[in-house]
Amino acid sequence: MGMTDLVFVATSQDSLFQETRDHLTRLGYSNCARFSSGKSAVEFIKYNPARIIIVDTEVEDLSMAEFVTALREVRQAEFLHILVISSDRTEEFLLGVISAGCSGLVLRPYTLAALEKHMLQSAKLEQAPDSDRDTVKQAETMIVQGRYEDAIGDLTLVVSQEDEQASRLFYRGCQFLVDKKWSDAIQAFNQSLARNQTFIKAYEGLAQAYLGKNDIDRYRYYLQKAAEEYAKLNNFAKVKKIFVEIVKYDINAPNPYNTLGIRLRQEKQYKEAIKAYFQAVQLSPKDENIHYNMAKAYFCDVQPAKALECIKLALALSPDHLEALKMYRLLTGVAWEDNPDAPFQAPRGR
Amino acid sequence: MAKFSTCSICGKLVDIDQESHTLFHCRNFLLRSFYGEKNEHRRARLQERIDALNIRMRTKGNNLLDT
Ligand SMILES: [Zn+2]
Repeated sequence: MGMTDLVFVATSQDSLFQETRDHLTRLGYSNCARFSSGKSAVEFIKYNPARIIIVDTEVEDLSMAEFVTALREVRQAEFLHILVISSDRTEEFLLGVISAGCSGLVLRPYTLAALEKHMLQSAKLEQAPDSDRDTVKQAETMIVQGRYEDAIGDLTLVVSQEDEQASRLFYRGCQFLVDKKWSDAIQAFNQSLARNQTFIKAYEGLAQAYLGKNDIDRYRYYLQKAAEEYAKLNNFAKVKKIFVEIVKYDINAPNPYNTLGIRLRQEKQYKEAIKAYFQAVQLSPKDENIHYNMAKAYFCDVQPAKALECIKLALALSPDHLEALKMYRLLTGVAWEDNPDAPFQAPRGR
Repeated sequence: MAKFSTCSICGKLVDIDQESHTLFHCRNFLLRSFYGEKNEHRRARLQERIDALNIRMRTKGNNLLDT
């Protein structure tokens, strides 16, 4: 029996720990360790793989959301089921822990059956519905055995699929947050994370296999791809944090994705901003201001032709839009009144 | 020393020398107040001012512009 069979419980309250431990024992989880300090729990989890950590109500030195965030940060590419138990039902708390990345949530008072369902969910999460995770695991074994070609064949299949799925699942999670469907949101974020992790593992496996074959160029290439997937993971975490702030405070905003796009554009995360605006125009396809904003993000991302497409959409909806008219002139060198279908023209005289 | 003046349209305190402040900035300022306003009456008042500004600027909706 390895460390992974252990269930960790983090709580600063003795009585809660006893209660949770009793419940776990009744459910057949007899091996249970406790942390009362959040920081030391994070330090431990950083160096020791764990499968399930239950975060119960409060730890000594971190807020619940900070604690969950820190756990996710030290175990980025690894599966870790973070189950939060709490009696706090305020929207602020729920948004906080969900955006931090908890993968399950049990609200007090709860039944033993509810806890059991969430404990079993960890097994379900680990055996993701797609078979990719299995493929990656098997490939890892092949690499150890020196069967590099076989591993490369299988892993290439995994990464050749479209990789926008993680992003789609992520924004599905965001919409569930807007709709206050908390457990659906958690599930979508879990799936998005799993998708990212599978790609990370697959790229790392490919790098290892090519290293085994002494193909250093491809080894470097796939390490770079793995790094890009890690960056995506970090971006999702950042975007989620900003989005949750918007959902929390801008309660009357008709389109939180538009506000998100602006925030990301201002923080120079242009590609992320563009993704947010894709969500925004789906929600409000006839809002010229959103099309203008998207144009600006494309422009900043040095995609002027795309920017021009968006600005034309904005002007079709609102022909007197002053800022849109200005940007049209900047992009084409002519006034919209003179030629509403001018092509992109790089500014001259530079 | 910075010279501040209250915008007569949106009520924002504007640094005259440093800050560009067009009608779009006014609209954004009102929208941001609107987004966070919990009081129903004040929210309705803000909506009226936004609608009036929208007509004047020949735009529509309650979405911010990235200025
Ligand atoms: Zn103003």
